[in-house]
Formats: sequence, C-alpha cells, structure tokens
Amino acid sequence: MTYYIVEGLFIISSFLWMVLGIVNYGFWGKGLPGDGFFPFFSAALTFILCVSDLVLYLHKKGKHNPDTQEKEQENSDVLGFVPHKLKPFFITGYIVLGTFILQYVGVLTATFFMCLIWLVYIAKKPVVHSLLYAFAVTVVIFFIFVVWLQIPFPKGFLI
Amino acid sequence: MNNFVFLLQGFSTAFSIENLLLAFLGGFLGILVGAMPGLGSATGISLLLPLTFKMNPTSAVIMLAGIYYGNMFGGAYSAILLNIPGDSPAVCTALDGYPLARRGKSGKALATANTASFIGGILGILFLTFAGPALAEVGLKFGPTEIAALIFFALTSIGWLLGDNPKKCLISTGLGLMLAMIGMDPASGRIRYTFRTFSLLSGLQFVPLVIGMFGFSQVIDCMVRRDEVDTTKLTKISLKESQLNWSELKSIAPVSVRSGLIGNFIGFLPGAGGTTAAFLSYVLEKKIGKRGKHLGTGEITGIAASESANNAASIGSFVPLLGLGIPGSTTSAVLLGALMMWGLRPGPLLFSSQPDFVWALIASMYIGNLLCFIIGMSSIPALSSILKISSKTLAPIIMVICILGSYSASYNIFDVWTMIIAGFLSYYMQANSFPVAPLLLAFVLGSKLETSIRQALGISRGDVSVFIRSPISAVILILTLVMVLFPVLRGFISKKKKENVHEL
Repeated sequence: MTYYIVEGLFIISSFLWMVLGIVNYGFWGKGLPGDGFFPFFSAALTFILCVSDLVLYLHKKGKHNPDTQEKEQENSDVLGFVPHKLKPFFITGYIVLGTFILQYVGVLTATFFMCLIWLVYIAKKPVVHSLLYAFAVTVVIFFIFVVWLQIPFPKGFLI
Repeated sequence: MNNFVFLLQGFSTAFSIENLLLAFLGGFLGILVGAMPGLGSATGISLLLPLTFKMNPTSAVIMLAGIYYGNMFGGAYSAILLNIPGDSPAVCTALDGYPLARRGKSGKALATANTASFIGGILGILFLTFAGPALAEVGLKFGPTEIAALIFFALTSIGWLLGDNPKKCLISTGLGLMLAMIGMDPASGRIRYTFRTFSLLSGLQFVPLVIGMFGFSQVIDCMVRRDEVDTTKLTKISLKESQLNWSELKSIAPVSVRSGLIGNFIGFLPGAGGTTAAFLSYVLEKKIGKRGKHLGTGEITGIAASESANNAASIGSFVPLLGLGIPGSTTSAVLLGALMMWGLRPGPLLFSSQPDFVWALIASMYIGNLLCFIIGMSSIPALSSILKISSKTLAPIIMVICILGSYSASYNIFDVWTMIIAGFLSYYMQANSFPVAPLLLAFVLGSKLETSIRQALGISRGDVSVFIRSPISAVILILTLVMVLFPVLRGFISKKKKENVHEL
C-alpha cells in the first residue's frame, strides 16, 4: 500500500515539475537553455522511471518479489499499544508535538518533557530513573545549545 | 616540495590546542556514534553538524573529519560484541568478529579491529596526501563541460554501485535533482518551485534535510523494527585481554596493508565507499589468504581485511571530494554540503586558493587517526558497557537533537518542519527499497551540475555536441555508459548461457 503512495507522490511531483518547468520558467530561449530546461529533464527522468517501475510492479503483483514489495518489518515490542502500521505516524506526531511545545512553552521544558514522557510511558523505565535521565539531558542540551552555541530559540512562556 | 612545506604548515595549525581538542572530541564522538547499532557515519555527522556552527571552517572540518573516521573505528564494536554492525561497512567485521567474541576473545577481536583500522587509516591519509593534489592538478584542466560530465558520472555510478535496484537509485537521484531546483536559480536569479513560500526562497536547507533523512528516519526505523538486542551476553572486557601478541600482529599486518590499498582505490570511486571496499577485501582474503578457508569462524585476518579497507576507503573518499569536489561516499556528500555551507568550494581550486585549510585538514587526519587508535584501544572496556543502552532509551535524545539541530541551521522553525517531513518520507522510501543516499548526493551536486551544463551550452551557443567534442568529457561519458550497460549486458549474457546449457 505505501509503495503506491510513495510512487504516486513521486509521479505527481515529477509531472508538476515538468509542467512548471516548461510553462512557467521556459525550456529554451535565444539559443540557450532556459530556467526550466534542467528541472524538466530531471523531472522527466524521474517521471519515466517511476511510471515504468509502477507498471512493472503491477505486472508482477501477487508474485513474491522482495525487490518491489515493502520490506517486511518484524514487529517491535516498543509502542506495543500502537498498531504496527501507525507507528511511524505516532513517532512523527510525537516529534511534531515536541516542536509545538518548544515554540510556545520553551526549549528546555520541551526537552525535559519529551524525554520524560517517552522514557516513562514508551520505554517503560522507572520514574525516578527517567526523571534523572531527562534532567541530565536537559542540562547537557542547555550547556551545548544555549550557553555554548548561543542559539536564539523561540521564547516560550516557560524556559 | 611546495606540498611538503604546506603539509608542515598544516601540522602547525593542526597542533593548536583548539584543533587538537576538536580532533580528539570528533574522534571520541565518532567512535561512540559508530559503536551504536543503526547509527551510521552519515547519521553521526548530520546529528553532530550543528555543534560546529560557531567554529571556523578549518576547526569545524577537523572535528567532522574526526567524527567520520572515528565512526569507522567504532562500527566494529557492536559488530563484534552483538553481531549487529554499527554501520554497513562493518558487516564483514561481524562475520569473524562475533564468532571470535563467542569464544571469549572479544578483547582480541576489538584490538585487531582498532589496529587494522589504524593501518588502513594511515594508508588512506598517505594516499590523500599525494593523490589529492595530483587530482586537483588534473581537475584544473576541467571546464564546465568536463565538470558536468564528471558529476553526471558520479550521480549515475552511485546508482549502479549501490547494487540492489539501480532503477530506484536513479529515481532517488532524479528526486534529489528536483529538490535542488527549489529556490533561486543560480544563473538567472529567478525564483523556482517555491509555491509562494517565503522560507523556500533560498531553497531547502541542507542541514535539516540531512538530519531528517539520516537522523529522524533512523529513529522511526529503530522504533518500528524489533529492538530487543540481547545485551546479557556482553561481558566485561579488561585492557589486558585487549592486547595482541607479536605473532598476531605479524599475521594481520600484511592483510591490513593489502586491504588498505584496495580501500584507497575503492574509496576514490564515486559512490563506492567503505562497504564495497570491506566486502571486496574480505572476499579477496578468503580466496588468497593463508587461513582464507577458515574465514567466518573467528579469524583475526578476516576482521583485519574488513576494517583496514573500510578505514582506507573512508579517507580515500576525501581525494575526489577535495580534489574535484565530487564526494566519494554518502558521508563525504554530507561533508561536501557542510563545506559549501561555510562558503568553501571543494574542487581543483581549493588546493591553490585555500592551502591552509586543506593541508591543515590533511595534517589533522594523521593526528586524528592516531588519537582514534589510542581512544579505541583504551576505551574498549567502557565502550562495550555503553552498548547496553538500548535504542528506545536513546530515541528521545536523538529526536531532541534533530529538532534543535535543524532549528540551529538558520533559526527558522520552517527548517524543523522540513526535517520532520524529510525524515518521515525518507523512512517510507527506504521501507520501499528507495535508497536515500543518491537523493542526498544529487541534492548537493544538483546546482553545480545545472550551472555547469548551462555554462557549457552557453559557451557552445546551445550546441549539445560540446559534451562529445571535449576529449575528457567524451571519455567520462563513455565510462558512464559502460558502467550503466555492463550489468545489463552481463545479465543478458549469463541468461543466454543458461539457456544454451538448458538446451544441451
């Protein structure tokens, strides 16, 4: 299933690149390549290869072909409460949430809670151990990114 | 003679306290990251890249180079102790390292890996010292036509050398070229493919892209796959157990030298890298080595063959990187992006316009290789304990570093979203056998390729035959064609042979 989505995304984006390359940016002009010349060829190569790969895949559909099928994943015991196919979405959602917290609450708060919640509820570590670990990580992050590198992170209402 | 003087000047720069500390830190972090299963050198460098933002380019690259070859030292640890290679070049190390560890000689296996890595590293750096400037001299003869042909060769060869599915490699390459087109056109200044997004005016940022593709996607992969690594078998190793006796040193020395020379040559080829070098050296040792028949049962010569070639190749990949501006491996593609980020232009002119930078880097590699050997040998007991930390415990730290590292690139939250999307897509790409290394290489080289092609066509007033009329360009394009057609022809010939045998 994900193969169709990935391949479809590549086909659509390469087609879009080709069309914009010719229509908006110009393929050739005054005897010289236009701004759309190189993008068109890159996208055309991608488009043709993707379409041929998809056609081949559909042709071989149903036969066992480790090269064209999604690699089978051994199920992980981490995130056992999340259906296997949704695990990438869960992890991505977790980091998206962390990014929002960082913007509006503060970088150190975000770091601390990202580590703590993960360790307690997902890695299933003891609470005291997790608190110490999260605190240590936050301190290290503070010294590296805030003190040493002086990165101007967004100011949240906490730290 | 001039180069020797430059090298001595380079040593004086590399021996500064700051650069020595950074070489040490880079080597240590490289070994640490390399020892962790699943975190390859590209991941390590991409996650640690933000640490170098405040440094001057010379110091930053010294540290990053230290991380790179330190990673090669470290990859052997989990391969030997857990039968899980720290990165793909260490796969062959596991074939003999793990059986040897199971016989209670893990200290010897790790000592062999470190010693062979050191020998391979020295050979690689010597090769870089002489071949780098020589290649740069050749590269000075290259105009836009030749540069375009060379980049085209590099982008195509990585697809075929990576092996599994060349078509999918080429698809990834095409995608990388498309992503490189986003933002301002370098020739005309026109804004392309930004879809009215202000943050895309200067194109996709390299750092968040690489952190997402190699850092965040690895986190997803580790969490989705089975993670339970049996670390109960990790026993304590003492420094005494990690010594090689004289006869063991004598047996691995010639193997390390031969494998190092192979690694030099392989690392020089765009796209080949440490994995190919390690495999080839291991197979050769199996065929011609004195104890070749016993490889796979715990022979130290097997470990030496893999590790020496691996390290030599990792440094050998700096030759085309510095001499021509063409990365020889995925990780050196990350380094190329980092160098360009600091305004440096790797290529033939680098040796003449920035000799201080180049020779300081080469000199620091001599020092760094020795430091990695010392760190590796002395920290065998400590590093084998660190392997007990599971990836589900490391995951939140890596995610935090991904967010903060991406933001640090240009202090823009858009870069964090870029990282997240790149990581998410990269995970599904790899799950469907689309490699991401060609995408990154194409992204880094895409702009240069377009500029070179347009310059070449501008000079020839639109005449495409300019790529054939130039002898150097023609030879490179023929090599590209051979590389593309050879596997197809070989498959066709072997199929015909099978059919003939069947008929008989």
